[in-house]
Amino acid sequence: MKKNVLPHRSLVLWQLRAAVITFLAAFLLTLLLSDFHFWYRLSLMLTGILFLFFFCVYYPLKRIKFTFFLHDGQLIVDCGVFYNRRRVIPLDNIQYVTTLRTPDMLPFGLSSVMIHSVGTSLYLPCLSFADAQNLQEYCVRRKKRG
Amino acid sequence: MSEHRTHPITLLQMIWRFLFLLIFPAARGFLTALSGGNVAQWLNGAWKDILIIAAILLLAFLQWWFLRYRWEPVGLSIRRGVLFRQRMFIPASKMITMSLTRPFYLRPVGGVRLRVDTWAGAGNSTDISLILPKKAAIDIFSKRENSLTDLDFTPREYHPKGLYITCLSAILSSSFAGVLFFATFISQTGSLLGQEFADRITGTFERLTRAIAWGIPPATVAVAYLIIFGWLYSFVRNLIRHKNFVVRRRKNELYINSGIITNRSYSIRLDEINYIDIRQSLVTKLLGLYSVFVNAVGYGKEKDDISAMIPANPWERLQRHLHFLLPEFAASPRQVKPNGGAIFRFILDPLIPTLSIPVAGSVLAMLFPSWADFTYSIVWMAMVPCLWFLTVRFLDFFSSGIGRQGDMFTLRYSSGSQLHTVVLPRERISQVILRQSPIQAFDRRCDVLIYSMSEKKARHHIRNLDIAQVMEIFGCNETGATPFIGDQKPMISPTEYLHPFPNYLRQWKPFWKKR
Repeated sequence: MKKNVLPHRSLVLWQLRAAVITFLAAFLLTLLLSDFHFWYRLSLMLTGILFLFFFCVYYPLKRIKFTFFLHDGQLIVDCGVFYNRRRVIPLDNIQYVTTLRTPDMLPFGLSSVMIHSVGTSLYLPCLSFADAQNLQEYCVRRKKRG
Repeated sequence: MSEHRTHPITLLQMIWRFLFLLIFPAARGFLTALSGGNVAQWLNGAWKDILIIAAILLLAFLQWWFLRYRWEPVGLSIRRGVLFRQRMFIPASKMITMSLTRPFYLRPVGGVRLRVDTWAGAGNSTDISLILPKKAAIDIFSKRENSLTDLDFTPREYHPKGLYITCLSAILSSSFAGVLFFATFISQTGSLLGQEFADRITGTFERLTRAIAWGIPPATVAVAYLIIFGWLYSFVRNLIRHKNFVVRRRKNELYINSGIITNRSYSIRLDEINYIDIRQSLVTKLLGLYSVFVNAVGYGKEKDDISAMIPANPWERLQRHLHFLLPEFAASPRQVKPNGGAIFRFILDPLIPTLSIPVAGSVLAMLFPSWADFTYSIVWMAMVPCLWFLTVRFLDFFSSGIGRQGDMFTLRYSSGSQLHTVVLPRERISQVILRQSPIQAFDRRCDVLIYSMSEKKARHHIRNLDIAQVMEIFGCNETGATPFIGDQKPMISPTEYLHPFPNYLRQWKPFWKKR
């Protein structure tokens, strides 16, 4: 059984997003709070800590701990950062599968997948484009055969 | 087969849709008054108002005239719309629940509301709802029933005792709905019947609470009486709703009928029942009574709908009735259950308010001594639900777990103040989530969240179970190898923390396949 993991470029994309958001936040803080020295420095410091946390801890852990595979008519996704989660969706109950590509995913060849089941849904972020297409096709083909 | 029109009372429904057009006559009157015009001037243009009222009536009539239905053996077809014509066909095989509601206000005109529900559509709206003449509605309902019946199958009928219906009504009653009703009633009395009448009601209530306060602060007594009367109101409503409760099982149909002022009948496809829920509140747990509820599309959907199948019964009798009506849904004993050390996982949520409320009350009483009596009485009142919740979680700890027999799962857990035993077929599981907190990781335990197929989100949360056993019972092991439950390592390694689930795989004989 092959376990699928997230490509390294998904981590790069998340870190890039974190950097852009931090830059925007710092820009806004400078624009709005530069006259209040104490609050300005405090908020900049907190923004920096948050950035480092996401850049060095949260996103690397998120990528390392994310795997998914098909087993015995079920899609099994292991995920979570501090909490470990195993999500199990029976393939027979999947209604439809959508893929999602934001503009920043295109240069990295990434795609997110949303799996819609009856009464619930499952989001698989930043898979490689090939994995996303294979997963979507597998679910659709299986549904058609059923 | 010919098409038929719905009951003429539907016209009133249609008129209601176009009532917004009355804004034009209202605006004309307002503008006439604003520009200093008199009654004569307003009457001069009254023909415009009459024209709009006539347009409302005409539009409603046309809508009703073009709304037609036809029942065929293969399904129900509906045609509607004047300019934008719409044709709808619902195959009989896709209909999960069909219901007839006979409200008291439709009885004099012989109208009955027919509702049809399928998997399609939003979770809180009915797919089709029509008001039909009584004879036509009953005719459609019985034809649908006949299509789900097999002559070789002897129907089974269950009439519960009045005492059990009373117990069920007590279980379903909540003070909240009643309090909401009374609060709205008291606050709206002024605008409906005049301020003097509203003052009289408020004054009577105030005098009554003062007279029977018996040394307790009147404000506390007022809150307590509001809650008690609210609960009583809700109880009487539920009693009326569940009076004359009957359940009938046919080959592939579950028929449920109840209610005296508004009578309701439901026909549910048996193979489309998602799960059954055997519920207990704290009081019924102490009395040893259980109630069975059914979850199916369209059943128990609207505010006043029935959702019970078997009212409060002792366990042995309930098992007998359940086996009689739905032998397919048999509860199995617990095979996976929380360990002894998990008790804090259960009681932590209620323990926090149970301990913090008295402390907060004492601090407030020290800061504001003149309000001490009132503060302590509020603390006592707030402690009641906290202790209630704590007791429920204690009971949950001793009863929660998962059982499996073939492809039928039995989930035991608590949610709010209720203890649930859910019997759920495997094919009705939509998603299973094993959630492990960092603390649970050291103990190799996890919470199990099961989402079942349902129109609305239906989640079942079972706390602190052995992760290896859970993976085994739900068949979500990577290799098909079975887990090992004894001889666990005292600490988890970083590799195990990063990829916990494959580490629970060991060679072991499946415990639930032993039989």
